[in-house]
Amino acid sequence: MKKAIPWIVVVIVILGIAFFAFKPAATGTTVVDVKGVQKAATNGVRIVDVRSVGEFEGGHIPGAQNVPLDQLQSVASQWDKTAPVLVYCQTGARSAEAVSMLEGLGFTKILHFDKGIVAWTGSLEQGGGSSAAPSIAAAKPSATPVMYEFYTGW
Amino acid sequence: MKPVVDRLQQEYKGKVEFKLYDVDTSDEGNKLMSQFNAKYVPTFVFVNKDGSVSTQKVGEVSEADMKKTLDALR
Repeated sequence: MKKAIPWIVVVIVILGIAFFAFKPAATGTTVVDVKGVQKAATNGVRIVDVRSVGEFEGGHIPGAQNVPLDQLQSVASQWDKTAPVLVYCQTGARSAEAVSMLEGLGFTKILHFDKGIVAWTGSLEQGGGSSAAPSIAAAKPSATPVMYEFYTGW
Repeated sequence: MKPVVDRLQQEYKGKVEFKLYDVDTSDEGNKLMSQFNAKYVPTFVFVNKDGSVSTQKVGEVSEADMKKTLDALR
C-alpha cells in the first residue's frame, strides 16, 4: 500500500494534464455591451441584425447588416466561420437563437449583444435593408429604372 | 416572393423594368450578381435610370417595402 501512493499521484497528475490539454474548446461566444459593440465595429467585425427587414429599416446599429433570423442558417453557412460575428436583435431573444444557430454552424468567435438594440445608446442608421455591401453603380443607364431579382428555383 | 414580384411587375409595367434571373440556370444572372456584389439569394437590386444603384435588398421583402423602394426610383 505504501508503494501504491506515488502511483496514484502520478495517475492523478497525468489525468490532470490530459484534462487541461484535451478539454473541448469553449464555444467562443462572448456577451458584449454597448462598448463591446463599438469596439467590434471599429475592428471591422461583421455586425448582424437578425430582426425583420422592417425593424432594421426603422433604425439599426451603423454598419450592421440585416439577416432576419429565419434566413440566418442559409446565409451564414456561406460566411467564414473563423471570422468574428456579432449578433443582436431587439431585446436579445432572437439573437440568443442566432447564437445557437451560429454555434451549430461551427462559428468560433461569436459576440452577442444580448441586451439588444433597446439598450443601444449610440446613433442609429435608418433605411437600408441590405445585407450586402452597398454596391457601386454597376448598371448601364436605361430608359426606365430597373429592378433585378436574383433567385434560385429551390 | 414570386406572387409579390409577379403582381408588382404588372403594376409597374412601363414604369420599372423587371429583370429576373434564376442563378442556378442563368449565366447572365450569375455575371450580373457578381457585378452588383450580391452574394445571397434572393437579392433585389433597384437601379435608377442613370444606372446608379438605389438599394439592394436581401431575403424576404414585404410588398409594401418593395413598392416604397420602386416608387423612390428615379
